[in-house]
Amino acid sequence: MNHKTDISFIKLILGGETEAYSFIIDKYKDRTFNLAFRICGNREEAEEVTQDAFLKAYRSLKGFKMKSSFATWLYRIVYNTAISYVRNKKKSILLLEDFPADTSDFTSVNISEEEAEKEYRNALVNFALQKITEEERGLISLYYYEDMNTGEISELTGISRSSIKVKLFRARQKMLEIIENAEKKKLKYHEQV
Amino acid sequence: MNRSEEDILREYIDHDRVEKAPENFTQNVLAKIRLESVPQKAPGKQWKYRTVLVVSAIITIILIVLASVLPEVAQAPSPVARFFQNIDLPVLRINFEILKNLEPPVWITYVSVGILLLGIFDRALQRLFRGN
Repeated sequence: MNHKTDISFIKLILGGETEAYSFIIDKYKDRTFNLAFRICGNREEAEEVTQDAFLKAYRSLKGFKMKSSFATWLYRIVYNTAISYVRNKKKSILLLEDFPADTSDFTSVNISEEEAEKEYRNALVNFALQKITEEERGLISLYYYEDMNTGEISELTGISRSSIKVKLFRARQKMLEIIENAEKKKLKYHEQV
Repeated sequence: MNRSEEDILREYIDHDRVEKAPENFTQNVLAKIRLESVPQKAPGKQWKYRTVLVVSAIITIILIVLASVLPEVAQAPSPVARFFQNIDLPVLRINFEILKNLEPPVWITYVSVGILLLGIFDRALQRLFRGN
């Protein structure tokens, strides 16, 4: 589906066919959920945020300018909703002080060593993501998971390109430091065992 | 941008790994949207909120009608009235003769009792509808 398809569905919805919104939801639910998940850190909150964002988008559909990209518009709503949600909750995200050095949790008889390594890396990245601010998590998610460039992120978030570059640089450094520390501990642990 | 740092992080981030939305996500969102469009049934809902006023008005009318229809009954002074009549405190030098000479219409008694009952009834209705 392309931009034209989005617009045709939006016109149907605005014409009173609410059910047409299911096509829009089906098309974007996974990517938007993924973004909310990276910012919130867990599936339950991500679901709440994504549902809320789709409702907000539905309510504001009349205000959507047909010439602009619907995807960017929707992502902006999801991004802002997730950031506000995390800020309002003021929760202490630091559930784990340190990433476990024993990686046996990621190995299983059912999965290959390569898959276990992938699981381990994914968990480590998620751990590092929870150690940075919600804004940095959002920017990292858009840049790495959604493959957006700084210009697109700037359009979506309203933050200047130069500022995004600085924020991404800092976030990346923080994450790498956490990842490197975890890797060192892992190595040390395996040497001792 | 520092390419090397970026590349290291890219090695860890599995771009293709997408956390998928739960099953029934679309249905759940649509259900919420349908719930939001319920205000179309607003007239019924508004009537519900106006019930307290309507019922109160009906009871007031009934009480006024009863007051005008029921025959006037001569009543002995109530214990409260007697208490005030017999009171003999220098501070309370109230000329009860004036009060005795007053002849308020009988329906005032009914209306007073009615207001009291309506107050209780209103509280009960308020609790009932707030619960809903």
